[in-house]
Amino acid sequence: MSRQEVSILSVTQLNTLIKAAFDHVPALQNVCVRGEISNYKLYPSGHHYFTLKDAEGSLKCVLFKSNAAGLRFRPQNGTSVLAVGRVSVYPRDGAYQLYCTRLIPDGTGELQLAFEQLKQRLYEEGIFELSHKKQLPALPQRIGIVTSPAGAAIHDMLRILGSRYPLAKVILLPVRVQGESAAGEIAGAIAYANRKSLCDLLIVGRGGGSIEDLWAFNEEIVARAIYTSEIPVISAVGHEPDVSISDFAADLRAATPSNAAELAVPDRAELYARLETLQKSMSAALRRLSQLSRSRLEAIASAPALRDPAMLIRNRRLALDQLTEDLIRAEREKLTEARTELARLAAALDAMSPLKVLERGYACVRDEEGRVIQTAAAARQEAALELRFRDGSLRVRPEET
Amino acid sequence: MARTKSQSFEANISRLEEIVRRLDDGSVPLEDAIKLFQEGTELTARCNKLLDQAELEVVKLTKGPDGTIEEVPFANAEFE
Repeated sequence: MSRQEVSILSVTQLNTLIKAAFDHVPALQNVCVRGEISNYKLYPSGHHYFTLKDAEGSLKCVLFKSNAAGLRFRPQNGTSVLAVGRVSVYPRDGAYQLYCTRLIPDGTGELQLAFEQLKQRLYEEGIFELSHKKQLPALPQRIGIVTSPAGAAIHDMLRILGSRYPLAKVILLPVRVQGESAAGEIAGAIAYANRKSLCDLLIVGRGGGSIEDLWAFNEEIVARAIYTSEIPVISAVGHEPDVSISDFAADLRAATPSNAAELAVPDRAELYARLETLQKSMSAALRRLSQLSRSRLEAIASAPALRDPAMLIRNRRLALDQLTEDLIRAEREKLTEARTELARLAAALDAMSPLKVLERGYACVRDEEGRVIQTAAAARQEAALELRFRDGSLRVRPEET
Repeated sequence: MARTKSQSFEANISRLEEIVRRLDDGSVPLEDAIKLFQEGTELTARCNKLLDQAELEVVKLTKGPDGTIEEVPFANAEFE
């Protein structure tokens, strides 16, 4: 190419040239591209602008209002789609883009797929087990917050914590919440809080954003740090419909950072009410106790012993009289019995008396010493015998008969 | 580590709950009950005061020049 042949072009002229070149390639006039939507924006004009992405590249796209009428779904970041249209150049930007005529959802996107696969794997490993979920402290002492020190999320959380439960101390662990290093920083902060027993509750999260913005909270390293944390973790990622892997791994999932602050602490108003209830139960219990004491006192005061003490003595005296009488009767009975027994014995003795035999005409023979002689042979030995009759004694001499 | 206001509050309120339990039990002699009631009333007042007067303490962890991590007050005018 010689120097003479070079003509000077304006930017517009070049862009127009390039546009014309694009427009003459038949292959670019009707394409169908598979990609994942990101940077999605719906303008008030009704035109949709977004970028289609895959692992390596990205492609600017527009879907004009006139073509958007046929949309069967609401395009969202992360949705994988098939975009049909033609490729052309937008001369003002000097950039080529896909002018879509149709947009068709294409199952699940790559990130969505990665998300689902990781979720499934961690689920099977038991990382999301409900039995592993830790109880949150009823009254947190120190709340560690792992988030960006700059975002709106930290403001929202501090405002709500301050108005609900200002007794807690908040320790901010500043981290990047998006980009390459985010996941490592978040996981590191969670591990650090545990190593130092920094707090008794952790809130981990960030405000809303695209699926790429929130991606750190879908990383395995973050999920594992949350799972391993001895300190209970509330996950607070994005806005209500956003669900992250962190949400599943956490002990409690909050819809938003503000919601996390609400779930983390009791409301001051409830605590005032609880104190009032306690004070009331205390008063009621004391009233009951003093009533009980009063009625016990009344019961004691109305006991017979205190009403008429002399009666006690009267009662005792009556009992004593009764006992004395019993004693006398018992003694008398014993004496009578003894007398009867004596008469019986005397009669028996009398019946057996030897004098009674003499009465009947017998005599008793005795030697001089008074021993009874019972045989003739014994009598023959004696020089003298004594005969005893009923009316007296007679001294005799034995003779041979 | 210094006792936080929340710890004082928690200790006070759990003692208060214990007092209510003991009073409710009914076996406490009246003289002790009155003492417990007085203690409970003081605890309630202390708890209310803590709730009335507390201001959220916020610190941020930063890495010092020598690499050690330290707490610095996190001043954020907007959160008030």
